[in-house]
Amino acid sequence: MKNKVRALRTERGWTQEELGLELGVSRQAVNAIETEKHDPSLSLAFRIAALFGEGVESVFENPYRSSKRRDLR
Amino acid sequence: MPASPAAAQPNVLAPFFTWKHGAYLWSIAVAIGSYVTLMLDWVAHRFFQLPPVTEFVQVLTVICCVGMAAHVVTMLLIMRSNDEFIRSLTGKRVTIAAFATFGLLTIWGLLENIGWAPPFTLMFAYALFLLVHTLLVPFINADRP
Repeated sequence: MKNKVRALRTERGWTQEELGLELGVSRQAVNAIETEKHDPSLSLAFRIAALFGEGVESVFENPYRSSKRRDLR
Repeated sequence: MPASPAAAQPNVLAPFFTWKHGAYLWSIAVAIGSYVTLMLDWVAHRFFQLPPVTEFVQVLTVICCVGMAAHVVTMLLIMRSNDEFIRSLTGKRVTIAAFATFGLLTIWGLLENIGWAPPFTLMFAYALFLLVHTLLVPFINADRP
């Protein structure tokens, strides 16, 4: 899932370890999210967004919110 | 929101290397140490006709069983960890390794039942599980979840 986690983290000058500590997950988990190899659970996504003071959809791109919205029906 | 999250928790390993991980390492060290010794004893007895050291083997067997039980329990505790990513990696490896071990042992048992395979001691089930689990590491890891 496309996201802005790396950009938001580097903006604040945090390392992956530091972000992981704050979220209660490992550095590997942070790296996997940043490189889009792992889609976080809803709970973790909310924690990440709250930590950066953003909404979930401004940190994680919603692939279903697009011009093809009607296709979901 | 803190300026630097690390300021609150300077020890990077502290939240991850908990007593559960220490217990895991100790239990696996005890289990594997005694297990390898028992396998060597089995091979010496089976192939080189060396007499078994009965009392030593009995004590070692009990130690091995306790170590393995502790290994299983601590593995389950680690799988309840907050880190969903590590939990997912461990879960995938353990599930595949368990199914592969059950499958291989059952196939062997079926072949043994009709005389197409030699008798196989279930003592090696754990070794088979660890082997499959280890073989999966290059395919299921932090870079290839």
